[in-house]
Amino acid sequence: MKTALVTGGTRGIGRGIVERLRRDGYRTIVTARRPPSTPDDDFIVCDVTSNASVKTLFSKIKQHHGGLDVLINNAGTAGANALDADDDLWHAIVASNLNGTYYCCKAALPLLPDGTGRIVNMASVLGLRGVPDQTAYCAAKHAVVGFTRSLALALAPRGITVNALCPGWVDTPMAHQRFGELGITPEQAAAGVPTGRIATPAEIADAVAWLLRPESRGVTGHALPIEGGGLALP
Amino acid sequence: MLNFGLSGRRAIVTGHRGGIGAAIARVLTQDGAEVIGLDLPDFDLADTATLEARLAAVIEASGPIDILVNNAGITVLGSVTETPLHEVEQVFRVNFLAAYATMRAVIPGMAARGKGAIVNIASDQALIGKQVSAAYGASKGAIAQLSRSAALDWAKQGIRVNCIAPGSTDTGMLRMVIGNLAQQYPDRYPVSSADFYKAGVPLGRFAEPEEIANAVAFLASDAASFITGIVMPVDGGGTAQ
Repeated sequence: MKTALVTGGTRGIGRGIVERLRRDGYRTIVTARRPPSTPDDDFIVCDVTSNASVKTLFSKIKQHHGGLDVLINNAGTAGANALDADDDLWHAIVASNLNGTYYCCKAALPLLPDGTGRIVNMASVLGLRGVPDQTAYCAAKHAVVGFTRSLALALAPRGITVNALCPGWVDTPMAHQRFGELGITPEQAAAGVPTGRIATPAEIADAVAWLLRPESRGVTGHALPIEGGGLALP
Repeated sequence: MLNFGLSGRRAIVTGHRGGIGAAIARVLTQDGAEVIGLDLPDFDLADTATLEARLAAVIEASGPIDILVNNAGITVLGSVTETPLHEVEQVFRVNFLAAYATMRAVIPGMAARGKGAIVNIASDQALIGKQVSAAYGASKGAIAQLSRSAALDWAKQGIRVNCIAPGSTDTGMLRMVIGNLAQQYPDRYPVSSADFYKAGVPLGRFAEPEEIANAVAFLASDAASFITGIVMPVDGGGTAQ
């Protein structure tokens, strides 16, 4: 049985990915800063912004599972960071989205098998374009895309693929929180997408499942948009 | 192996007798789709004067089309000054106009049924420039942009339009191009061996046609239900460089 790790896997997109991977037969380890509301035997608490916490996580994975086939770096926080506020939110958003992805990849490298190992980083459509009120999130997600491209080249000789997913609006608690911050309804958000609706976590999980197929071994360094055509907009 | 759930879907695949096209037809068929191939010698995509009428006849005979894969393509080597207009026209007839015509032929039916998937095969040359590839590169850029534009026009009707940008793929066409480069441009391309070109791919090898077909099947399937208007490289990391 192959082993997968999904950071931030207790809710939203991460939860959708965990459910899909378990259906597809992966032993799936889930992390988050806080335990899930329903107990999960494969849950390990981890704060990805802490390198020490990440190192502890991976030593547990090595001890209990021997190795890791798939790393899904999904943990990350969002939010509007006002430029006249203090710097804490900037650092927190960069820490969870960028530093967390970096720490986890670094710790996973000795465990991932050559030829079949897979890393999928959760970026965002805001890793490919900007919005005015989220300088930290846009910067961090653009950085995740750049990190993905660079790491893909670094790991190509080992045959490990590294890709990023770039979802637009996805029907998650985090998105609904943002709708509130932006003062828009879910219907208004959907109307701004060319397809006229927003994505489901299952649709993001579908893309993860495809990237894990053996036949997808030639796809690496790609930032895959999953956003209903929004990027084709001017 | 994961099923793409294409059972009961009808697909048109152009250029299904070539290396990548044959793999696409095989993978779609294995997944349960009914595949209608359009290719020489019995179907000439370059004869644009009669193309629309012949496509209409194919669709009338087959019934509704769920999936369109525009894969047919030809290549010509040369810079702008080395490539006369009649060669550019021929490249654009096959690589661009034929795809445009098949889209015109299938989109009204897809829109009426509120569902359809179109996958156009471009090239990594839709994303990056290559030397002595003026006409071919331009035709691939054109098909990528057509895909983005059509994706927006038909998103509300449930038609998804995406594009795949394969890197060097292990086909007869690639072997011909490698040979011709060494023959026509010995100063710039002194080595005609495949190993020389593989070394330029981060993964160190060419794509197998089945790997391109795997991406086509994904984008054609409901697993990609929220993906439209994208140009997806399948290139072993080539365009991440």
